[in-house]
Amino acid sequence: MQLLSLIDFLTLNEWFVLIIFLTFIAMLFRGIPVAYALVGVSLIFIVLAIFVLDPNKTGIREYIEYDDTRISYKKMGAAAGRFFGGVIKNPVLVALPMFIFMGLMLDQSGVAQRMMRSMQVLFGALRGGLALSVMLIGIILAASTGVIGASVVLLGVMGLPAMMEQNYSKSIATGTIAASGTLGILIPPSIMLVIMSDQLSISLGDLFMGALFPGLLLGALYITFIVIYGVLRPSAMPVPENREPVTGKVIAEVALSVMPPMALILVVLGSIFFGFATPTEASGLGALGAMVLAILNRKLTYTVFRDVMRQTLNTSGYIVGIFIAANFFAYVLRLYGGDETIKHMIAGSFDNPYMIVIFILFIVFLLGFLLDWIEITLIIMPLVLPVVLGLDLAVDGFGVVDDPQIVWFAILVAVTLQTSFLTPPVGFALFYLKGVCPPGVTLGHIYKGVIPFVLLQLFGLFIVFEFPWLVTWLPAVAYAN
Amino acid sequence: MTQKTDPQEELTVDAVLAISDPGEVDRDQHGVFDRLMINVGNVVAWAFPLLMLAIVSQVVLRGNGFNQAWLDDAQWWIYGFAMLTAFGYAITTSSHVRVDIFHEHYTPEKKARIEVFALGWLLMPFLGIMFDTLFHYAIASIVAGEGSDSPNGLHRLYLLKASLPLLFGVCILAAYAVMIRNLRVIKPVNLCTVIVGMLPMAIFVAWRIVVYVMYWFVYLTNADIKPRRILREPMFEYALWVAIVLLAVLYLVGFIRNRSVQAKG
Repeated sequence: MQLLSLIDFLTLNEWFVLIIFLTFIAMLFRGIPVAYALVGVSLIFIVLAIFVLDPNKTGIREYIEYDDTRISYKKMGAAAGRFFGGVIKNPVLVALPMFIFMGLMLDQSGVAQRMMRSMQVLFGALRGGLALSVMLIGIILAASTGVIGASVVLLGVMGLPAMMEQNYSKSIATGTIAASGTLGILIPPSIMLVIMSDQLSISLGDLFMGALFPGLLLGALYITFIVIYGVLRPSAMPVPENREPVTGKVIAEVALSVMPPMALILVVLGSIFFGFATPTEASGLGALGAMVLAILNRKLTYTVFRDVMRQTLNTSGYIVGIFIAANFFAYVLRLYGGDETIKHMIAGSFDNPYMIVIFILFIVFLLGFLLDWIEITLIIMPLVLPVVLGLDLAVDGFGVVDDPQIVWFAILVAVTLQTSFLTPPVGFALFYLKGVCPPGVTLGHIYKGVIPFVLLQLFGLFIVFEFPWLVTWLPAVAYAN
Repeated sequence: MTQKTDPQEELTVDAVLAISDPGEVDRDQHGVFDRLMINVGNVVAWAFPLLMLAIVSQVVLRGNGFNQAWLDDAQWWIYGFAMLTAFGYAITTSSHVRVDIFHEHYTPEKKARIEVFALGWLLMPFLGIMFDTLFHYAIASIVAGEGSDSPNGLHRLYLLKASLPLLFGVCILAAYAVMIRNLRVIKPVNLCTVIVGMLPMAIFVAWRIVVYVMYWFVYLTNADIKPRRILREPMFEYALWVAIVLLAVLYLVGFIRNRSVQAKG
């Protein structure tokens, strides 16, 4: 029994929580789809509890502390109710397929190409103008794609050839693209925020409004950086020699190309801000708006419409797959006492509540290297929610915002994830970008290029951390009347 | 998780933005159940414009003072039905998200083996459990004649609840079809390899069948037993063993059949 005395600093339940997560990670690395791995791990430990652990609980307790899980097949009946209540009867999540539909439709509407064409002419004469165009398009199209891979790839193929042609430094060009592509997960309407609002039980409207200033702040930081960099290092962003003159016609064309997507964003966010529609309903209005844009640009054929519907089904499918699986996984983890274990582990890590927030953000940052935001928000957020709720944080909700500290925390997580996706050597965005780079652009250029943006991200994160009112002020104003 | 872009291919904005029908990818390898899932998906995909319509009409009607509570219910009904279909659709199109740092370098055989394990051993038993429990959940709802939370809402909630086990049934068929497609890459498909390829699912199904047969046997032969007492009969403790024995017999049948086929060939 020498051996057992080595392991009994944790209870058997705590050991199993650890083993459950390790098994899950091992499965992930084998390339098993996340959703299947989640349900598979749950099933393995259900079988283990029913056939091995619970029947022998008295024997086990002689050696190590153990709370029996009381899992039985009959108890699985509750999984049906959880599935129905959590995944099906979920009015907030109605926004999910609608925003996906809107994004796919917007991609088809041709607004992106038109914006790029017109902005190139206007900003081409300006030092760093191309970088600014990519950045602006990234911010405007952030609305359209919640999936970072998609926006980085799109901005990459749109912006990179033009920038290379104008002899931009390879690192500044790639850095700009990667950074603006990841803004999409933060700037509303973002699909990630929809899922966060569901998982953290906070109002989606609060979250959208709360994300707006931090998102714009990051955008502004990026733009300032590019302008200053252009002044200090003119050779990195040369101005083309045979530039077209900027005429009124050019400016009008830019305005014409930017207006439609801007109008769409205004419809979505404005209808929420003025209380005209709930965030869920705003998603439906946005989907209709994107369709109208596609029709106006004469891009909407029956085939396009049909394929957008089917792609929406497919994309919703893999997101909801993790939803269904995480819902089941959370249930089994709870029967093992997992949420208590994790709550104690995190809550006991530091005395200072702000250190605990930083600790959680750091874990999220590390997980961002391995997992996409879908998995992180669905598996990790519900586990840390009770911890954050119990913390004594001075976040002012101006008497209007419910759970202001959760809204603030959610935005911090969003910015952290964005930073994580950008950080070398394994950030997601960098690899998506590498996939569409012309030969001659190496991963080294990309790494070098994103470093200033990672630093800007960290600075932005610091500002949001220090000044929580940046997050809570706008929702408070929006819902005050 | 996103479409892999082939480096040989010309990368243009239009190529990246081009949209395609996910159900048509690898169509030549699709079997009957694959096509079933895809066709169900293709019909249900119309739910999204319908949902959009429901939302927009509710916003317009409410703005003019004609709030329609049933439209609120209709929204999550449509959404819920479409989402579960989407789940199955993504099984058939193999779109479920995975971490592919190592996976993309594996050989096709290794990928197929992982897929068979992931589907037959991990996913399918879960789908089976959901099918079984949601089936009872739906029956309870039908018996109670469950309606809406709101007096003007959509009643007959049991219709939606009854559709869920059906959709899970389609998901099971879809997962089975993808499993078979991958099994074919590593082994000849016959009764024995299929049983091994989805062993936990096979045990689960056999067990549930044995339990239900026993249940109805007791129910029909014992006139005065109360239904909720039936499952406490001692014979149910052996149901799992009976199921495993039956499965072993089935495996043996498959084994002998393989031998005779080989002997003839």
